Amino acid sequence: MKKIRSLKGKNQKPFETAGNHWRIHALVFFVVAGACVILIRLYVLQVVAFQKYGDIAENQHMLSEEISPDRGEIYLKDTSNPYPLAVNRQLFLAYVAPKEVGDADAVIRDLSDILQVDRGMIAEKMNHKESMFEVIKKKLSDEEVERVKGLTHKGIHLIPETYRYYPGGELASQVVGFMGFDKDKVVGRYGMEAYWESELRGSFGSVVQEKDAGGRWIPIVDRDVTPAENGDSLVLTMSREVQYEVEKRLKDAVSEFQAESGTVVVMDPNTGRILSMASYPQFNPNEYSKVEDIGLFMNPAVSQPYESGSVMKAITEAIGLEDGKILPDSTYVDTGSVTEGGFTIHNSEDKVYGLQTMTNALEESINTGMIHIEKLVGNKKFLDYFKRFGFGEKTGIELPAELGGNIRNLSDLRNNVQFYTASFGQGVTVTPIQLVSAYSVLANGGKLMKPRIVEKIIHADGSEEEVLPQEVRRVVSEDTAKKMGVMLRSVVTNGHGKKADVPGYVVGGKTGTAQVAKTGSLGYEEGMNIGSFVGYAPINDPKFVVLVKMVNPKGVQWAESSAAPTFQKVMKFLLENAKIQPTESVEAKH
Amino acid sequence: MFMSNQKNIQSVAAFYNKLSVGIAGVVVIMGMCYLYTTNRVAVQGYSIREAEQEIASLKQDNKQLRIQEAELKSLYRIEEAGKRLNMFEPTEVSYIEDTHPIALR
Repeated sequence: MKKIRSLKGKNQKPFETAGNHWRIHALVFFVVAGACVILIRLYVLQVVAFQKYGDIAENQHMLSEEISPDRGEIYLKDTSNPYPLAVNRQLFLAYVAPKEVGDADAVIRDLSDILQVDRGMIAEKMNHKESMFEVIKKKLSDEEVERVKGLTHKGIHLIPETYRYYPGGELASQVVGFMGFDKDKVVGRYGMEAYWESELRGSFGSVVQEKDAGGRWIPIVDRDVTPAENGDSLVLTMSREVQYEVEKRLKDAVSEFQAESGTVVVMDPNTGRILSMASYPQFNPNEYSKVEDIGLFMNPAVSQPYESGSVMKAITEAIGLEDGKILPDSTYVDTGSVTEGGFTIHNSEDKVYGLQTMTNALEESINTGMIHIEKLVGNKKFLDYFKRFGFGEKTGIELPAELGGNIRNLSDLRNNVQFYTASFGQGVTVTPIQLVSAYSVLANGGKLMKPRIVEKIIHADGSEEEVLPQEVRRVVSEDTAKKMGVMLRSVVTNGHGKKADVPGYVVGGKTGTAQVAKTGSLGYEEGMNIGSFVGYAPINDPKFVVLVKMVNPKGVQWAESSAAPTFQKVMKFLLENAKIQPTESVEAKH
Repeated sequence: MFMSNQKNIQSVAAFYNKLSVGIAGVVVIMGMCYLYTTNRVAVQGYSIREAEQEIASLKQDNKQLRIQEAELKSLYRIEEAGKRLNMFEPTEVSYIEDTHPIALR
């Protein structure tokens, strides 16, 4: 075995050995120092600044988006499927990314031609060279979208946006309302869109997921999803066909009589369902920004109380019957006027009728006849019954901005004059919906039904919730209601309501020609009036209660010439459309 | 004795060599299986995403068609179209109750 020789050189000294090794030690020192720096840096990055870099990494790797809920839709009833009155429509927005654009002149020229947008406006947007998003036009038509998609220039893009759209145009515009801006949010403004905003809107969801280097979702990894809850949809009690036909007849009447405006309300007296609610003039909710008078957005049927005039006489008669103070053939002597507290109240045109029955008083619309009834009933009881018919309080219909009318003049029970004038519909204000509900009491045997405009609610999960009829209270007996039916029929056959009669059917109702109170001062406007007719048919089994209100019709003095014939046209359509058999014989025309 | 120890050591070493190769082989095979599975899932994930997008697109098309149908059914639009086509609304409508058989020819 060989000996291992010492590696030490013969002439090598101890000092020189240590000096030769200092480079190694220095190298080791720097390597260790470097490693320590790295370790310290790693510690700082991964422990001390863990949260900060973790957040940055999550921000880079994770993609989170809000999930917008679909807004619920609003439908009218129709023959087969419900007709969409308010829907969500996807339309495209065109934008350019100036940073990506190559041939700017060509882009400006082509976009201007296709989208009919000013070239100068596009050129100005193209000057923002570093921008990636400059909107050129919103709500492109289908044709514009196709033509833009056909362009080959870089930097032109289309993105979809969802808008609220009303396919029926002005159909039931004051009922449905529209969506508009409230500060920086788009919310329901007016009508159903406003009243049912929280149910229609739904609630936002979110999704958090990892993205790849290109910013795209990675499908195979887990997602953290909170689903959006879509809004509820509503089906109204109104039908498309009935609403259209009523609106058409109202529009024709307003045009014929050159009225300032008109309103028609149709109600099913047995359920409180609103079958039609029409006002004219209307507006197109798709173009609400073009409307100059924002008063047009209000729904006069619920938001515009007025002094109704003689249509209130039927209510006064019913109060007298119910209180047992009168019968249809009870008599009184009319002297043409009544004086109370220094005021003299006259009949219309200062007529004097002499001995009259209560039915005559309604047929001839005699003011003193109503005062006679009110005196017999007494102020307190009259006010109680008046309130029981729903006047002075909101009906609770599912529409915004409903007013309850004004019966403050009846607050002092000693002020007889106010009660006398209220008995024939002056000095107190009521809304059309209150009037039609009150007449429904007479039509359905004596019950006040809550008017409703929503038939059912369709929840996002597909389940349906029907809105049931709601009886508020009994107001008069069935006997009183029956007697009133006969009396109201008599108004149409013998009184001022002849033009409201529908041949072949038993129709009853009452006219009302009311003065218009001055705004800001006492008294009434000269030469202005509101003509109303409220009635129902068929009298023996009423299916429809209809109110027609014409504001300031020209060329006619009384509602029997404006509101009554309009009522006749509307009621005729309703009865024939519902295939209700005539019960009266009709003379054939030759 | 030294030689037999050497032989033992060599055989043990050989065994462990083979075992290592075997384990390495299994790991490689499992790794390849994993890659295959992951790749397949990724491909199917993208297919699912494409299908989801197509469903969303079809639903959107269906919505647009419903809106078009509603626009066409708009009675105000039909009224305007009737005027353009010189059509008039009948002023009197009579309803006949058919109690007797009606001849078809």
